[in-house]
Amino acid sequence: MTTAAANPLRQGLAEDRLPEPCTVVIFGASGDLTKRKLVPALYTLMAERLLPATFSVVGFARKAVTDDAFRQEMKEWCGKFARHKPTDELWNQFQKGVYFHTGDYDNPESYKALKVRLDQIDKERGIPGNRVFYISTPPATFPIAVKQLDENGLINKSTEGPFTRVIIEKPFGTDVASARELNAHCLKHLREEQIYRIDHYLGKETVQNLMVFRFANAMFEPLWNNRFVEQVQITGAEALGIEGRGGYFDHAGILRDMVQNHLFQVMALTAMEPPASLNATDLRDEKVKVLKALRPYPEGRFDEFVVRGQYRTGAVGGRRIPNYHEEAGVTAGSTTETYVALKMFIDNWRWAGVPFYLRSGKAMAKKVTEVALIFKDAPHRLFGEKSSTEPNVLSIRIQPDEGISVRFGSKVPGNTLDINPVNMEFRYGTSFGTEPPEAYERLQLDCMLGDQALYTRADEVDASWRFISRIHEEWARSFAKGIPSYEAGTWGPDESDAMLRRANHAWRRL
Amino acid sequence: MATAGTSIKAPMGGPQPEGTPLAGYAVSVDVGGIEKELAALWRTQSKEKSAALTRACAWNLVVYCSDDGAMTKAKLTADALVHAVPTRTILVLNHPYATSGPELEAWVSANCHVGAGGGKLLCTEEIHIESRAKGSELVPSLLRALVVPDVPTALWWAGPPPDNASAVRVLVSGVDRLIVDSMQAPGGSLSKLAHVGGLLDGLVLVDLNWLRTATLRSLLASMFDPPVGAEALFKMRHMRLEVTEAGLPAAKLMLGWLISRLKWTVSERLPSSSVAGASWRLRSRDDTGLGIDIAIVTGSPRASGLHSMHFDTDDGRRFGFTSREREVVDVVGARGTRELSAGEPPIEQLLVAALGARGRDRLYAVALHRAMELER
Repeated sequence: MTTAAANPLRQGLAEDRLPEPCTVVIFGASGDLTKRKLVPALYTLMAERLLPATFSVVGFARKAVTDDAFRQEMKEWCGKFARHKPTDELWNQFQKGVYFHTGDYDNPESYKALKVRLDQIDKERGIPGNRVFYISTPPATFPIAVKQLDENGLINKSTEGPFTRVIIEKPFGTDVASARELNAHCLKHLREEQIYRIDHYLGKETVQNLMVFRFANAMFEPLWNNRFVEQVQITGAEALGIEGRGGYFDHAGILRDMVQNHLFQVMALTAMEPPASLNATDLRDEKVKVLKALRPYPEGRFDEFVVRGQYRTGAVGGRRIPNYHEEAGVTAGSTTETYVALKMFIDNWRWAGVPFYLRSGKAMAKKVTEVALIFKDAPHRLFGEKSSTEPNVLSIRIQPDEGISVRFGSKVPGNTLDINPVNMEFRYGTSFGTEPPEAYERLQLDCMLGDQALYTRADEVDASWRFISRIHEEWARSFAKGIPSYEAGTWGPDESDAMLRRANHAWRRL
Repeated sequence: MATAGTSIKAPMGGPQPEGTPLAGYAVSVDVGGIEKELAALWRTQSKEKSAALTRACAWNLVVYCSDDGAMTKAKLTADALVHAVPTRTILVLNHPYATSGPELEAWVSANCHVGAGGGKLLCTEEIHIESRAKGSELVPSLLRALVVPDVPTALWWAGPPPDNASAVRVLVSGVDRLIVDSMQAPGGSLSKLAHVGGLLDGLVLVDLNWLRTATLRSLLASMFDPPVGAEALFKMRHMRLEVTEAGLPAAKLMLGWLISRLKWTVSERLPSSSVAGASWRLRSRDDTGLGIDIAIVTGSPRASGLHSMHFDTDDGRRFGFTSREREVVDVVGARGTRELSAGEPPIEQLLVAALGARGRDRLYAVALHRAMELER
């Protein structure tokens, strides 16, 4: 089969990122992610003319829903959550390619019927058999869905002909063993190039801007190492508690839910060496080197590097938050962590000796995700006691109020030489005016285009789980110690502050 | 996105409501002190407003208007544009034949709105300059002084495209991008624009009409993606376009694009079968003859005026589209007739694209050049 690249009318078009006609099949179509993120993102892509004219979406779930009912429901959700609100004209176009297919994830007949339906849609809409399967179901069904897709002829493993790509939602495993098992299972049915392990943080504009900031500007990279940087702090704080997700969260904990994936990805992008190119292989090679260079925690000194906590009653932003144990779905006596702080070292030339502090928690004082590089003091205190004691800080705010700020010392106006810290700020909203795209827009589009750069690779997942699983093992061994608590609406347990104090450091006040 | 107000030029010397500059009202200023007045305006307002104000500027946008009507339209568009691309907008209107009034007048105002996703009040500056008679000679020096340093400058020629390159060069030296709309080219002719574009070496020429029809090019291209394949393109023997009078430049650009991509050559212009249209004979890559007709229709839902376009191949296949609504076209292709979405963005979105990062579009330069062959 010829490719779109052989079409002379395609060459040089501004829409060089326009995917080939395809169908996106969403498994778990009755779930919240489909309604709030996936379909609104696809609609926005169409409204921004980033989808091919012949495109379709098929929702797959157990629930018996007609195409029309699914379309109506999706229109309401797009109205609430899409960046572009549906207009009659555009929605009318979009909905013609929206279908629903009822089926069981473990029933081969459902997949056979799905194949017939997809073939029919291809014929009707002029789609050459290209398919993206987005598996957004409970994790236990990931391997079942992949196996059934393959066994029922829905996966083209060849590099020739129509493409088949499979997006797998997080969590990709719950520990190193289960992640390896899932990887091996997927690789039995798909080529690595067909597997898109999604971490929606990588689709965030500001996370991508980390790379632009570092590698498109000559002035920062020379400072980006242990010669100038004293410590790095990465924070992923949620103001909400577990908000009805107790059943899931109590089994996962914040280390699995936030750190293994999102914060480790942010850390890898912050710490990696410049990649040779931005293609998927080069970029992911550099990230995986960082994860492999994480220094294992020394035996017997675990508490110096890891602090966990669990929130108790408190208030966040004027709203009362119950004790974690009182949340629905949480088991009595649970020691699941709702807060974790890690002190890590990356054993390579660039970062030798620089602590990377990561913290993430639920029910914290405010919602904020940021990376901050805290610089060493000037080598000589020329201004003596009047010098500011605050170090220079370069902070990259990922959410909310995305942007970058630099803190430096400045002379206080007057006839004396008093020095105060001031902030120089760049904010996305004030420089570009436009709203950044949603992560799921970028990531779904990339998958349709066959670009895996913002998806995680098997060895990245493996390396991060290797580090995280050791922490879980240690917690399992020290079960009897219990878990420190912190008041909801604060910045975590005292032990976390103490961990940094030992190195004469302190968490940033955010 | 909330807007604090629209820019309305207050009468010269008329009373200004308190705090109006940041609500979009223009304040009359001495032309020699525009920058100083702007600085004073910000200082005063920052003290008065409790919320922090952020001035933003990613581009200098000089808007050259040939008459009051063009100025009114351009101003509304520029005001909408700054929500997506913060610019220092300098609107210039010349009255070359005015016999009274000052040589130069200037007003300053700010457009403030809450930035994307809420948060800070984001403000952009607008300077309005009117020259009369010989005052136009002073405008370039004023513009040189007013462009924000270290920020690129675009000149939007709001009206018929310039017919000589020196007019552009004189007006703003060091301009990075010239934005025109070939839809407004007198008589639908592209030759002068191509000539001017050729003389403006080093400057990026962006045609809003080319951007306006981008979705149609993409739609046409998609018809020949797999499984149909490009083979059908080379079997094309006849093409018919229906356009409104205003749509002639878009049609020629579309043909210029096809001629360049498919390596056709224009053999001759034929007497048109339609009274107001045009016809050509072309030769395809394999030296086979190919006929093209453009027919003029009275109306079309598409802003570009490009109403329909159809190809017939020597094996009896037909490809093309007909506009049905503003955003919808009926497409004829290998799989029968289908209704598809293919809208044309409004002018402020076209300007956003024109100020985008892509810069020079080589495809446009070639298409414009080849479209000229149709005018010979």
